[in-house]
Amino acid sequence: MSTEGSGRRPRAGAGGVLALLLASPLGAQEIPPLPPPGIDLPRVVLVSLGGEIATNCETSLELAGCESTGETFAPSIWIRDLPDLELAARIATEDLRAFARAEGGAAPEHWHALANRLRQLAGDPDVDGVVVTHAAAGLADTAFFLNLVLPTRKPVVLVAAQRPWSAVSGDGPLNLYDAVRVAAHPAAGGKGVLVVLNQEVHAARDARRTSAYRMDGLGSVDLGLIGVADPDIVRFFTEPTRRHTHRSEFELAALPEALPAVEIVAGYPDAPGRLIDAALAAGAKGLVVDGAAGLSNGQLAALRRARERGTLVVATSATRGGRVPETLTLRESGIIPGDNLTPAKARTLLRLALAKTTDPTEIRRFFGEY
Amino acid sequence: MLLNDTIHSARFVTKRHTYHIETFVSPDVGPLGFADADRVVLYRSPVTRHTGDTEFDLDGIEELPQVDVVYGYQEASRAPIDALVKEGAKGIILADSSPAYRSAVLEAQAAGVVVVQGSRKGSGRMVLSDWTAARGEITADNLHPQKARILLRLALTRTTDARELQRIFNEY
Repeated sequence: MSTEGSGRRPRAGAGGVLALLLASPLGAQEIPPLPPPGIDLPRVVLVSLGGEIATNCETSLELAGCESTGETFAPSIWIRDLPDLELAARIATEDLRAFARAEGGAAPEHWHALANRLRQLAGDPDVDGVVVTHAAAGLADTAFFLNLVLPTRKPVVLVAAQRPWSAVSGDGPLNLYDAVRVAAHPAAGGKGVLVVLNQEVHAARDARRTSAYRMDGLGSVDLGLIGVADPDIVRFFTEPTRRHTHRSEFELAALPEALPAVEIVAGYPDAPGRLIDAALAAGAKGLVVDGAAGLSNGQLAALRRARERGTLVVATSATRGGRVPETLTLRESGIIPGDNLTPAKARTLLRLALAKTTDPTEIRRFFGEY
Repeated sequence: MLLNDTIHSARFVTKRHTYHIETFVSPDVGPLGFADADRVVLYRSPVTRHTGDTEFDLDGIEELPQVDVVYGYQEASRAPIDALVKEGAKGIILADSSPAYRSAVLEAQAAGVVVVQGSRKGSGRMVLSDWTAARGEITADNLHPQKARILLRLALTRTTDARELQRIFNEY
């Protein structure tokens, strides 16, 4: 920005979210000017996996989803309803709802195919950034998987809405607009897969849903957001230091069609050990125990049996804050600390790890580096 | 900054409680990492400019320009702003505002005093907008007033240009 006294340029059709049309006589602010729509704007592909953000309910007061789930609309509806999207980027849409669960969001059996397609899109020299819409449920887990396997420095932004697109005070339109702004922002590259909700930008590794339906529905427990999609600018404050995307050693091409099975077991007093035995009998190659400090004697005995068979066991903390510290007890029982990952994310990392190696030392390293 | 096993970036950290052990927090962005019993872990790296990347050089500078903070509240009078201008302050950080400040700020600016709009809400950026820019306002991003004051004192060693000062607040 260099022009003396220029503010945001007035433009045809710009209303609502972007109605900042006043000229600035003193020009003290450094607000990046918006170029005219379509010219030299970054090119963003908007990929639909459905979700609340692609769902119109019958009434605007259906705030927690519709009576009939799964009836999502095509991506063209976003452009029709929110033409201002094209002030932030040149948008191409891609409908990948075939990869989604009925409830919306990537179906884990399609994660591999989804990642392959996103890798192609991110590798396209005519694409500057990718936005993926998702159901709010599962958002953080899909994001973390992609964060580990997409070898790209371009922004890949996952977005969801806590309310249906049709809801009164729905968060879908602004979340979608913000996700496109973030994906179009040069500083968003190289920071791993990002998650945008409620004007906040979170790192995929740490993002968690913190509410089933409230607007403030995303958080990075213990840590915090890495950037904001504020009304004026997209701004980053920090970046994640754990390995991801272009710095990840998990190669998409080398992954098997089906990742090794890993089950999650909740540790609690007087929990039976037979759930662990059953998981192993059903073919689990690894286990995540959530709440290692609360394991019952029956579970501890079953885990010993599991370890003797060579099953990898990772412990996460049921407190949902803080790391699982490396203790002598854990080390002696051969259990790998899951750092501060959620059980579902620890499971994803362990599945990717087991697809590469069964060496506990190596897998321990993964949990310290990713 | 390390306290209570928690590693914070100097840019974001602030004290939130008078005496609890868990008193230092970095609103919104959270800590960078932890000094846990088994190992030191880092999860974040600040992308705001700092240390090796800074443009500020204190060589040959005996004293930083005077900048003070004016606290905004309902019915606040303009007297503190007038007093600071009279005293020769080079800059003023507003920690929120008051209707009475508008005319006082214009007069202060006319007298060559740089005014930066900050917030005492504890988190969130001061959003940039053309209408505040039209009033010649510079915004303090999400810096607390006391940190905005330090940055403005350093910035005033290099420039008094509003556009340049805003760039500094956007980058550090």
